[in-house]
Amino acid sequence: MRLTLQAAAVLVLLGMVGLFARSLAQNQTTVYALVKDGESPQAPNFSLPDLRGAGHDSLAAYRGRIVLVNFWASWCDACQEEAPLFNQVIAQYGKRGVTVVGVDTGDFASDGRAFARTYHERYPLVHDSGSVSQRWGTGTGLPVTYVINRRGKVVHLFDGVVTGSSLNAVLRPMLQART
Amino acid sequence: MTRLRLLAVLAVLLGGLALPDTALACNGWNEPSMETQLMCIVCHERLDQSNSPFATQVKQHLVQWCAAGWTADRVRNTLVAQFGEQILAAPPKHGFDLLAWVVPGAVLALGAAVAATLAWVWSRSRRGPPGGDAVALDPAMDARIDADLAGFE
Repeated sequence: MRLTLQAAAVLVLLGMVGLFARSLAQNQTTVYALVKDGESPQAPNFSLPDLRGAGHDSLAAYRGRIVLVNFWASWCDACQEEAPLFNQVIAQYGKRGVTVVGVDTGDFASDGRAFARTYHERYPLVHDSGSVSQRWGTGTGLPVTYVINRRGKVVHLFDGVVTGSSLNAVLRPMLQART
Repeated sequence: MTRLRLLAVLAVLLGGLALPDTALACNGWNEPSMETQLMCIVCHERLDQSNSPFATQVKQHLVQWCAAGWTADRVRNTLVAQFGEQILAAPPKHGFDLLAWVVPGAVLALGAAVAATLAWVWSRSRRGPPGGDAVALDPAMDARIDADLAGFE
């Protein structure tokens, strides 16, 4: 009887340790929190299905370029507002090594595709079922845009709508520095 | 005649009350009930209590799926495929999440067992030896009491 109770107690204890470890693993610090704290963390890679159905797209494929990772959703009004800007970025800076990756998150892929058609988005778009946006963080809501330098470090984030002037202010020095 | 009219009015009223349920009845489920089983993953509220743009979008899809005759399982599976299990208001009953269902019951049962054991042990410890109420008196004291009592007689 005593041995059984001891074994049960050990099992309960192990279970609790397991639960604690699991919650720790889930509560990783987000990229959002790190950048807000003034750090420039290495951008965590992701590989997600292409929103238009062309296989998978991975962030690592753009290493060596300046990448804007834009988290958006079709139901987000502010995302509609900034969508045309990213096409301009591609047109203006694409040949100088700037890429935009749009991550459609918290959204139905079908609605995301319709949104992309409406706004004629001409850059890579992927669909996230929640895990990537959770790892990166979206602060108080969408849209959120991260700026990654050529060495793969997240150096800036736009919390909300990106404007042309604010984006230029971040991109120009990076393009001049060529790092 | 008046009674008949009254009955007719009541029937219309009751019919009107029953109408929304009938209209929302889908293939074995209905939208209000399904909304209570889902979460707004953006605002972290139950879908039926949220008016966020995300919740509104999901509700629109529920209307379409209802009209298309989707089953409740198909609706849930599609939503989980799109948004992960965080879209479900209750944890799934498989894998690690099964613990969420099992642990509360197990803890309750364990607590009841511990309480019952403690009560049993406590009740036994209160039971003294047979005849324990009788206090053995010192013979001198006994003699003195007898003498005092004889004095009263």
